Amino acid sequence: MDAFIAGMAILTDPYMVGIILAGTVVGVVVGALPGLSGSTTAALLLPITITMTPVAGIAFLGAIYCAANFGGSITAILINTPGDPSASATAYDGYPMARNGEAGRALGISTIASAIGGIFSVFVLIVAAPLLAKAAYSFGPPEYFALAIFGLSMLAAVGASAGIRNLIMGAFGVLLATVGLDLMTGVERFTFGVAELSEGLELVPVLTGLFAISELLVQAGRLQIVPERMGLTAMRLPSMADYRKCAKAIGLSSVLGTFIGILPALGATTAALISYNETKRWSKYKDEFGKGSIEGVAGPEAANNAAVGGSMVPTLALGIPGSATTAIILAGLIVQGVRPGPHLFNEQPTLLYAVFASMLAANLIYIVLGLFGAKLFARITLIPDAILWPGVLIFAIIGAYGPNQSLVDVWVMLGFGVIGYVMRRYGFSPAPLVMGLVLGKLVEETLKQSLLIFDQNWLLFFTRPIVLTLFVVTMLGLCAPWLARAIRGGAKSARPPADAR
Amino acid sequence: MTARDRRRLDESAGEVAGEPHRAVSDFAVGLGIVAMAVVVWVVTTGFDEVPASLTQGMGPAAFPRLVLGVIIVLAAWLAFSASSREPLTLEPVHPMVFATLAAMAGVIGAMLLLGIHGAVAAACIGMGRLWGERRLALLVVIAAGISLSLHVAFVRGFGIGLPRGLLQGWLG
Repeated sequence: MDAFIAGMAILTDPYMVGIILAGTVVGVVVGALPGLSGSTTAALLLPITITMTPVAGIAFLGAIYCAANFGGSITAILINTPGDPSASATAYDGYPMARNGEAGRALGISTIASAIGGIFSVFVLIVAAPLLAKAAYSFGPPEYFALAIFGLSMLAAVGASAGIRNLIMGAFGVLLATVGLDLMTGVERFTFGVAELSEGLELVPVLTGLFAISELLVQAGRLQIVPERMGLTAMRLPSMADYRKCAKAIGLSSVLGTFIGILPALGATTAALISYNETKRWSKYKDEFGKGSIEGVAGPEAANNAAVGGSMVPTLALGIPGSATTAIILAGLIVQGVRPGPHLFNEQPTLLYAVFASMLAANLIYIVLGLFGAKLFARITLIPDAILWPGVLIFAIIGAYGPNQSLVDVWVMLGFGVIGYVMRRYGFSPAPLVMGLVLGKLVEETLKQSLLIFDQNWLLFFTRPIVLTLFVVTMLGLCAPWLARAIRGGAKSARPPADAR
Repeated sequence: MTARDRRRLDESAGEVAGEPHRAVSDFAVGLGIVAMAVVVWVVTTGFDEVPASLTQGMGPAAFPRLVLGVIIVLAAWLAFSASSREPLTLEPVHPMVFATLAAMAGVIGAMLLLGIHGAVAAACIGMGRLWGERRLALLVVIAAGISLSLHVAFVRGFGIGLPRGLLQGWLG
């Protein structure tokens, strides 16, 4: 309880409030800019957090994460271009609302729904993360190995083809984590004689390359596309009738978003898309969806912000990132010398509660920003690409160069920018690669430690109940999309044809 | 002309220029990944040998090979299940992508020679012009503003050293 009060006390510290406010404003601004997602910005600004205290650095990144999801809805509604991928479902009804002259109403409900979803998930985080950490306290290397494999296997849960692609990228990330000296034998792996690679690939250049530089190249190919912008004449708050209409959608999506966020690897975008479908399924006004349904805005917005708090649960309690942005926050914690996991709750509880408090504050701050500043934030999209993206390149270069003052890292960033661009061109997302890269060292270390414990007998993994359970859940998770398809196919073929009926 | 018309025009630009959209099946993508994984596997054979007593079970190449094995299995799965899916339609790579990539390499080159302020000027003015901004004075003002902000924020504020470049080193 003392730690809780001490953590919450950061909200009375003007410096911390300033940091959270800055993180929230940056989050909304970059969220509103198409192409600059929360994960890209977190990667770009990660080196700056090194100069801050661990609490301030993580609070800053946490605030960006919370606010970027909301910021993405501004452009999704006004120009039909989601600023953040998690806002893509918001555009389905937000943009038609804007075309119907209801941009203010759409932005208003988006703000309120986002805040409710976000605050709900932070409360779940406060309750669930310590419980999960307590359960994981007795975990040894075999359990952590099984947990990391489970986390990576969740990359397959998004669907058949995309699932295989994500798994390949996750495995590629794990492979990249092996670059550098093998700690057990001191043998160099994949360094090709470059001394700077001996300690492995630095996370920041890889992340800025994969997210920022690859996006810059994507934008270079789209310079001729001029988005259609909707004017925002007046900020009209949603009426009581709107709230009543959306209450069920917001409640359902908050729960759904938090749950999806807790599952490793499934982030805000998946939560928003699933919630959109569920909101439609449970709505009394199904016909309005796709034509400007206010519930169609409220549902995904509540869900994508609820997923933020949810995805922090496995990140902080187990050290297994719940999404691409939390993988970057995890990297931020590691850079700060903080190792996330169950022990963190005993060793640095104040830091954790400070992070929770900062996320809560960020959700409250962007209600004010969203309701009174949306018109201003919408103007950010007017910055020409020819001015915006060179600035992003400079930030990316400084971000890559900063931590080690190494030019090799800048070239690594450019190389991963090209890799990211090629990956995206062939339908591979960079986020699973980041998950694999962050978890790679954990996978290798815990596998080697486990095999030492088991005297190189792989079968002994199955004698540990938690490991066995996690392996079974992993197998079920891997097979789920195909099982579901087979069941659906079976049901279809079992149904008699229409003429027979 | 509406934005949608412009988008259509842009999308069809490749076809107009004689570069039709290319269809790539998951079969080709999967086989490509298998080939790359095999090349990396060959690289692992060049790792230094260590005595068995030092490896304590798993040699330096064992784990990367295990992961490569997983990648090969998954890529083969992607390739051989490709018939059930539509092939991926690839738009031709816009020439501006290559130009931007070259410009980025140029910006990093400018940083090597002139330090971060040279890189800022190269990025803002060079890339800005490349991407179609014609107001040179505006680009110069923005470059100067970013240079100054970076110096104040990073060097003075955060205490992070910025690249000085070979020229600054020689002159200094």
